[in-house]
Amino acid sequence: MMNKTSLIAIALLVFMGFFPLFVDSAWLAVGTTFLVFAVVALSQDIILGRAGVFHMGHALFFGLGAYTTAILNVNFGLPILATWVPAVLVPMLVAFIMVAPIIHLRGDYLLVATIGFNIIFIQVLENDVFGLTGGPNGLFGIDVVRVLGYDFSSQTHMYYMAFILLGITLFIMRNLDKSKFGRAMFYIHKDEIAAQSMGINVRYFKLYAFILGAGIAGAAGSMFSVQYSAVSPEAFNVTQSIMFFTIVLVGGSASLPGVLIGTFIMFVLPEMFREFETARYLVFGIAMILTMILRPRGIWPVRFGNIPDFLKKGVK
Amino acid sequence: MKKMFPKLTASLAVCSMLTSASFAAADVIKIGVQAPITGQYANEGQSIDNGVRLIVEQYNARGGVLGKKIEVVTCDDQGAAQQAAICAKKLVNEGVKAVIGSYTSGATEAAQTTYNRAGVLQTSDGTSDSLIAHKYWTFFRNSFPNSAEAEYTAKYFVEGKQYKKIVVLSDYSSYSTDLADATVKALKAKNANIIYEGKIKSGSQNFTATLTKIKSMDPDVIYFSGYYTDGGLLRAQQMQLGIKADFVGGDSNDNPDYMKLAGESAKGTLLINVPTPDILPYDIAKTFLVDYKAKFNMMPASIWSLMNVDGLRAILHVMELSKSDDTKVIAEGLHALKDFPGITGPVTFREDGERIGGGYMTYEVQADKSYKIVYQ
Repeated sequence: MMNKTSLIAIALLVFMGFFPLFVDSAWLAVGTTFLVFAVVALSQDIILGRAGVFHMGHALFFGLGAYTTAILNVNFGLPILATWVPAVLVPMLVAFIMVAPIIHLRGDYLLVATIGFNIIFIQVLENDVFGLTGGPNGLFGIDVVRVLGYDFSSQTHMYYMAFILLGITLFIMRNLDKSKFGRAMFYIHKDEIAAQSMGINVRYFKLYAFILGAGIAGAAGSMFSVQYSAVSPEAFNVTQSIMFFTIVLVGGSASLPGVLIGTFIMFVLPEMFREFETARYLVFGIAMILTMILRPRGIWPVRFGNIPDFLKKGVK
Repeated sequence: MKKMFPKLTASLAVCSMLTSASFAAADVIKIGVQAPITGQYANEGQSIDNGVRLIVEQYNARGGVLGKKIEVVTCDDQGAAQQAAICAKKLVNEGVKAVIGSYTSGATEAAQTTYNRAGVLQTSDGTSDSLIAHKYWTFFRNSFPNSAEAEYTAKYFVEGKQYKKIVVLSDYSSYSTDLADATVKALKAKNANIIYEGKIKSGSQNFTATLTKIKSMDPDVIYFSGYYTDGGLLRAQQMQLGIKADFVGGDSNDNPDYMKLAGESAKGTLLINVPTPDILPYDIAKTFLVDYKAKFNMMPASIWSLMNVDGLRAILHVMELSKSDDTKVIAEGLHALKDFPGITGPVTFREDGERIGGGYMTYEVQADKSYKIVYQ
């Protein structure tokens, strides 16, 4: 049986799948941006929306993926294809090393710590550590994806690669919702103490959410660096992290349509109304305030938990 | 679910409208401008955009080029590398034939690969030597490289001023590092005594820590290879700390905002640059400046926007000459161009896209902020 979220996910995939047939390459690029940022927002949602961990340094993992691809390709000449696995594994590893010691921190304390990590990350990039990151300028001239002599460099290729990534992400999230891990995160989010007293290892599941989210964000980062063939520190600063954080909160925590609407408002609307591009922070700022007052659980909040059906029957 | 369908159809309708709009625009030739319209180099960026729009307006008044009207598409790269890369994607997808800009070498370099892959011509005033390192057939530098300026600076320091203790400062940008490196190399070749090489972080406002360190070394000259936004403040803070050394600014300090930021301290600054707009001896330059002033009621921010305008003029000239809007043909035409009369002097490109020439001067800023040529 399919629930509403799966239907929306399928409708989205079908629509996005046929989208390139109707638009020119300028809109295709907008679509690609939407797909990549939607993946990042969804990965932030795993950590913030599902596990309920206040994490405001997500641009760090996004950036780690982007820089892993860029460094391996530009400095070491590896083909893009070979950088995909490291671009997922490096953020996961860093997430483990970095977050494991602080995962027990609660709410706002953890939030400040993650912001700190993000700031350190930008400092590391700007100071051109080991001569790898290119300093404040970043790294340029990242290659395109090449497989057996074919190069996948057109905007349509880029679009479908991002599309497949979104598909994989949605698949992971669907499985997550149905699995023991997803349920555990949901309980932790609702009531941490109750979850703990039920025998859920809170630290383990929070860390699990972090590592999974970091890996997905890393994959999106790798895609981002290839799309623009350049990476530079300012794309991964705290402002970006705040953006991902608010997308989830404003759209609706743990709500697939909510997160997608948030991404759409933040990254696609400014493209459609280009003359208002500079006003986007103003609009988004006002939207944030209004949403928090009028719809404190997000524009499109989740209306149900993963309460098994047999339990719901009696309530009716 | 029912609610979803009107939304889907509505967005499909919007998409198809947009597609038809882009088809209708096929009988124009699009020229892109990638420049820092906002951000710390905004006045240079806007000046590039203004200059390009002025030339395009003049062309369109005469009926355009190849019988088609020219349309300008501007993308604001904020002088930042990531935004530049995003702009490059946007402009390529807009279908532009050539891109004018950007102002900084970093933003230019970040966009280079994308333009090259798409076969879009790019002409920039970025002076970093690294810009021509890739030998992209799509890239044409419309200014002169850092190495030419470095040679001149070294000659001026060693033979002209005979400085004994030299301090070289730069920021972390590709242009500034590149110019500082080239200058240090040229100075060392002349056996000059460099007592300190340092870097400042662009936009950090307060440079007293670095300057205090420099003060203890008692230098003859502080040479700064960065941009005017930091240069003006550096000079002001140098005077506040009472460091009695000459302050020599590289070409990017030559901007009206330098004078504003340095205030009283601007007096006595030595600036090394190619000629300023108002002393360009060419007729074509004089007419352009009159037109520019009439339209925008101000002077261009600096010579750099005029260099970019020359890049555009050369491209449009070759388009008309070769009767083609194919970028490969235009690139060949640009390489074949010899002494094309430009606003900033004759334009000739080398095989790797380098503009041939030079002609630097040193200006001393007077109390009334006017320039006096002190070394040629």
